[in-house]
Amino acid sequence: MSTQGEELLKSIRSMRGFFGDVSQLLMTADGIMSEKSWEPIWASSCLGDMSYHVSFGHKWMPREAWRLYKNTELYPKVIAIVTVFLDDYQREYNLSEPIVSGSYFVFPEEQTEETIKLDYWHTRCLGWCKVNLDGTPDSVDNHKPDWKATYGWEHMEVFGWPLVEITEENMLKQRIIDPLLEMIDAYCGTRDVHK
Amino acid sequence: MLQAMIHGKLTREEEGLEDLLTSNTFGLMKYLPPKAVLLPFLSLARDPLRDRSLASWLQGAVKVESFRFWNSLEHPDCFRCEPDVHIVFLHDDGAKTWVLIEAKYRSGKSSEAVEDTERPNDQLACEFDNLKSISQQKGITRHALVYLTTDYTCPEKELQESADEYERKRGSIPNLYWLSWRMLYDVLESADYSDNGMIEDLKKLLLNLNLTMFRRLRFPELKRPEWSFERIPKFWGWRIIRPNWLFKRRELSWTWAPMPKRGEWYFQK
Repeated sequence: MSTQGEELLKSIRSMRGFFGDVSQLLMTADGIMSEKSWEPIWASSCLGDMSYHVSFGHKWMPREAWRLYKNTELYPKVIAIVTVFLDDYQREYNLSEPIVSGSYFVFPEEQTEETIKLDYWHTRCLGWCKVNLDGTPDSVDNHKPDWKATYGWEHMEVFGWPLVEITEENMLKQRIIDPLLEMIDAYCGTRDVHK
Repeated sequence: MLQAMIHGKLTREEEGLEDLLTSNTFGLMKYLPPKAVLLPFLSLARDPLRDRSLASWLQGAVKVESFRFWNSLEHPDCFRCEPDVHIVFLHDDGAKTWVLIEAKYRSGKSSEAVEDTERPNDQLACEFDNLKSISQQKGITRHALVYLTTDYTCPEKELQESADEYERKRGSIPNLYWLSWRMLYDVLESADYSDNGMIEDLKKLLLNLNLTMFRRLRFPELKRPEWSFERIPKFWGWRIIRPNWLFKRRELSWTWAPMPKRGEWYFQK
C-alpha cells in the first residue's frame, strides 16, 4: 500500500503545528512587551497580504506574521514591531531562511497620536535593509538619501536573527525583545538630550 | 479521560470542556505532594490591582486540609455559586489559607455585574463574596480567589470589573488573583518529581492543547518529503466548431499607373 497520502497528511499537520508555534512566539512577545507597558496596536491581527482567491493558492500561506506595539505613556512617538519572516514569495527581496526581526520607527515630536501609523510594508522592512542575522542593527533616518518624507517617521532601526535560533521564550527575550527595547531607550534618550 | 485527552481521542467540543481540563490537571495535582506542583503553580498567581503575589500567603503551607471540586457555596447574604476548585491549606503555625479557583478554558465569566441588586452578581465578585463571608464564619483570615485563564497577559479589565462591583456593593477590595494555564508547563518542567509519570502526562496534555508559553518550534518535522507528485503529461485537445458561414472571396485587382516612357524622365543630379 502506498504511504504517500499518509506522508502528505503528516507534512500538512507538521506545517499546522509549526504555525501554532509561531503564533505562540508572537503571543509570548506580547506578554514580554506588556510587562514593559508596550501594548499591541491591533488586538489579535498578525497576518496580511494573503488571499482567499481560488486562483492564488500560493498566497493562502502567510509570508510574514507580525505584531505592532505602542507605549503611549513612555514613548508616544514610537511604534515597535516584531516580525517573523516565513517566505519571500513574490517579495522584492530574497530570504535564505526564516527570520525573526525587531524594528522600531520614531515619529517627529510634533506629530499627533492619531497620525502615528505605518503602512503594512514596514513590518517587513528588514527585507530591504542590509543586516547580518546576528542582531546587528541597520538604521535609516531622515538624513539618508533613500529616506522619503512620505514615510512619516524620521528614524528607524531593524535587526534580525534566524528563526531556527529563536526556539523558546528566553531566546526571544534575550535576542529580540530586550535588544529592541534597549535600542528604543537609547535612541529616545539621545533625542531627549538633543532637544 | 486524561489518556483520551492526551491522545487526541476527544471531539473538539469535548476537548473544549473546561471542567474536563480542570479535572485532568487538578485531579492529578491532588495526588501529588502539594510542594511538587500545586504550591509552586498557585504561588505564581498575582493580584494586578494591588500588585502582589499569592506566594506570600502560601509560604509555610505544609498540608492540604481540604481539596474539593465544584463545591457549591451559598452564604445567606450572597448569590449561590460553584467555583471549580476549593483548596484549604494548613500552615506550619496552624493558620489556614482558603483558595478558590475559577478555571476558564475557551469561555469567559458566566455572569457579569448588574445594578438592580445589592449582592455582587459578577461571577468572580459573587464567588469572592461567598468565600469571604464563609471564611469569616470559619475564622479563616487568609482567603483568595484565583481566576485561571489561558491568557498570555493578565486580563486586567475583567478583574477590574469584578473588583468594581464588589467594592461598590461591599465597600472593600476583593482578593482577586490571576494565573495562566500556560504557566503550569514551566512548573512541571522544574519540578523535582520530573520522572513522575503523572507529571509527564500533565506536560503532554498541556503541549497537546497548546497551553504553554513559547516553548518549542517544531521545524525539524518540516522536512522535504522523499516523494513528489508525478508530473502528468499534458495532452490538450478540443473540437473545432466549424462555422456555417464563410468569408466571401473577392477578386483582387490593382490599377497600375502607366509606366513612363523611356526618355520622358531622368534622375536629377
